Amino acid sequence: MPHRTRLGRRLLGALRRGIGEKRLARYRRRLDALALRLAERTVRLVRRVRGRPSLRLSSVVCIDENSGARVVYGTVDPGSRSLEHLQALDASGRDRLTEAAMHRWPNTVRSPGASPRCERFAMRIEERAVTFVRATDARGRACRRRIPVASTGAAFTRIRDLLEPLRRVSDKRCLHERVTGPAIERVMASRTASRGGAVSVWNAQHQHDHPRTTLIIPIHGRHDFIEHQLARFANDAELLDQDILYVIDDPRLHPAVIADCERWSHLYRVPFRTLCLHENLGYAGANNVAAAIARGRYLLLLNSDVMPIEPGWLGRMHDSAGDRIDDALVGARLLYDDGTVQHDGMRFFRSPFHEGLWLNLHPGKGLPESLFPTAPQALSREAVTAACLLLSRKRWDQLGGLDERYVLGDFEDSDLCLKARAAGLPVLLCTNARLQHLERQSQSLDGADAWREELTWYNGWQHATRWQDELTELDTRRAALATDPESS
Amino acid sequence: MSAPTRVLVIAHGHPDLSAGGGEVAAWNQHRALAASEDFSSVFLARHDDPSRRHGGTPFSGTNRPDEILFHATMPDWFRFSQPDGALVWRDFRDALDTVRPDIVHFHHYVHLGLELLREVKNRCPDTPILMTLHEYFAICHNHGQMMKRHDDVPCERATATDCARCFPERTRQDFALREGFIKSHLDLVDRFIAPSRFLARRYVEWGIDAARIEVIENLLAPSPPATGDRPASSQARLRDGEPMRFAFFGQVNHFKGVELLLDAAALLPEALRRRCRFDVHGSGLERQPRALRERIGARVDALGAQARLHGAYRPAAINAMMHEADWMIVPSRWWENSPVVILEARRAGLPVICADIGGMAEKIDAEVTGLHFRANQASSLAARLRKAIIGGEPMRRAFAERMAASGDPAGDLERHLAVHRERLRNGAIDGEMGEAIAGPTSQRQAA
Repeated sequence: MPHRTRLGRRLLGALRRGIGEKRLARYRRRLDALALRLAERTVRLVRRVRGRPSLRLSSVVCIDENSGARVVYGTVDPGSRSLEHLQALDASGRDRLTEAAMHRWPNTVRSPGASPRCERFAMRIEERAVTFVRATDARGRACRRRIPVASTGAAFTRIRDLLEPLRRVSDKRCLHERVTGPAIERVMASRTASRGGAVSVWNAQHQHDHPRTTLIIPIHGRHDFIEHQLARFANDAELLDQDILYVIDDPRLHPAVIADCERWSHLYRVPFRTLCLHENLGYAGANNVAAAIARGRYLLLLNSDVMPIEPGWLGRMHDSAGDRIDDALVGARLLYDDGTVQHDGMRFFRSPFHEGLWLNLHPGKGLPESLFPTAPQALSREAVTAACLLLSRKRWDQLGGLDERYVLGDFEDSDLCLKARAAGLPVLLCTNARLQHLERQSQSLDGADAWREELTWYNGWQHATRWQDELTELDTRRAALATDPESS
Repeated sequence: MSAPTRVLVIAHGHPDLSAGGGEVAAWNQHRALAASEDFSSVFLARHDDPSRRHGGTPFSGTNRPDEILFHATMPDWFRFSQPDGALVWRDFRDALDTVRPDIVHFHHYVHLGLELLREVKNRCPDTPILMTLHEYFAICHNHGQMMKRHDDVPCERATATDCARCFPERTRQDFALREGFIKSHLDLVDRFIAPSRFLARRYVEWGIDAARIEVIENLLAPSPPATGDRPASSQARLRDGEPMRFAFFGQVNHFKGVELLLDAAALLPEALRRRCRFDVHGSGLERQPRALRERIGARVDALGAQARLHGAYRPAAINAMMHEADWMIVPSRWWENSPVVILEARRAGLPVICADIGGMAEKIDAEVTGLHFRANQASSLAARLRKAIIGGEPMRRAFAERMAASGDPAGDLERHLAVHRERLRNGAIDGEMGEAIAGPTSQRQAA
């Protein structure tokens, strides 16, 4: 501290005469902070030189306010010996962490001065009583750090904070199994439990008394697609007998959408309703809430960026399944604007780039539509996308709707298809219901692409863990077909 | 009648996006197959324009039902190897599964990766592979031009030792490995098509079995524009006192020799130069090194009103533009293969002055359909220009008539279809055509 040395005092005296007291105080604070950091660094350096373990906690995310459960991320440098323990301690010094709730991995992102033996770690702490993390080396030398206050906030913010440190981790599967997976599940569960029931519905003038199908169209981020859809629905007589339900899953959009509803109702004369959710429920939640107030005997899950190309598509989807319509999940052929196929059914793919995780593949994606066969009868598929998916209300209820454990719209559709397969229901694709899909234009996650990838990984892990056996069996069956393609 | 045989034509580019001769030849082949009764065709063209990409797939469309755009990059220009494995064994395989071709016809492997050949053999072992050869990429690491890298003279033969001398940063062993790797993939090709005898010979000398190569000229667009009637070309176009119009068509780069043309023009005596005009219709100058741009700019300025740079042209307009020229100049420094502009000149009845080497010399008969000059020599080209100017309209017309009558597009088309038909009938290689190529060579050498 400069003012405690003689040089410092003399310097201060000289400065005081030249600079104002206020500015000087600011300089002093800065100097003090600098000195403090230097001291800390020196301590760390000295400790390393002496070979003691050192510990740094980089972020703490709250996963449950009631129990005080948290996830702690940090870096541990074992010093000269190997690391013996990494413990979570309560005030009395008792270890409260079981091995299963922690994962360590090599620190591949080297900060300057970090030892090559440095490791990163994530631990899931269940109890509020835990206040310290302690690293102990083989000689019993230890380093202890108090756990800082956990960051809280909206569920998605917390999930982002949980996923962001995973960006360069190579064994994500293990990390999800032990730490982040159960943590995100907890966040999602508490979110579903605290869901407010407050919703409001706006009805257009022209409602049909006995609609056959309810179209459920969630809106998030962008709402200009609504008018594009209504303009096309209005030219298709079949759509005028249905129940079209827009679910505004984005409270920011309510005023703008409601302001336009009256105009759209007069102009397009389409029987639509607008359901405003007062908090963002995510894709699965929005669909599930909407299904509860659906008036049709059938449900058509539809993305807002899917645009019909020609009239009659909904009827063809119904007809293509024939007498299986009450049991089947029926998807549609979705096209890009350049005349190629976006979706013609999905199949599962064990990705070597994602630790062998099962991902959804769209076979033939981006290839010209003319290469794909068309038939009035629906064709069997492993899974179909929920961007346009028809099923009966009865089967929807039986399957329990979309699983809300997936975060932000990924894998819910293939999960639903796998549930249907497990229940013995057919999963079909109607090749002559052709719609245009703008794909991903409807989701605007502001500059969040980096963690979006982590999110896909997490959702994929959830999905693969849940359906491991079914996916393996499907793969075996497909491999058998591939060796004898003529039999397909 | 059974369903038409489906051919998958694979090209390194789409003429809508990059207008090189190889791309045009591939697309014309695709159109010709599609127009024939026995075949249907799907055209798969590589591109690297991110704005045309969709998420989760390298494929996209052109709004034409039989065309696929394939987004791929291939940074390895030494071995032509595709580093993205999944692009080959997942995505390209998906395309094969969807297209289900009876024949796969490659027009190139650059930008794509040689591994695609192997994937075809792995996934559809019974599907014959045809490959049309353009340039000399497999043989020569210097942009496939077979030009010595340092002294800029045409190269006769590639050996690991000689190539390592051109590229001191690599060893002989590197070049030996390169050759082996490329050949291990080209071995999977059932039949090669060479658009010129000269190119076929070069590949035979490099080690491809002559029996596997057939020489068939590239195809032009199946229906030339209505303005391209032949009689028009042989009509008198020059009136007294009008300048003789010499034109260059094609890409402007060092190998294409535009500089040489302008140098030759400058060598003409003033009185003769006043009686002619030089039009350079060339694309790509803006992408060339600054030094070349400046040299060309300075030469054009020096020629004053006698020379003009016109920049890129619409491919559809070429026939009309050729009708506005009296002679076409092909001043290339490198061997060429079968320049598309020469086919187009034939269609337009436009006589040609070209260098006396390689593919261009093969396509233009000296003193019959055009004039040859000693490659890389401006003075020799100047002498031919002088001859053409002095010969005037009567000489031009005689050459134009013979030029219009040369070539056999209908026969070329039939030969192309025949080679596809034959592949289906018989996967084995027969040796008839091979002898024709392997016979005594009559190539003209560079000075």
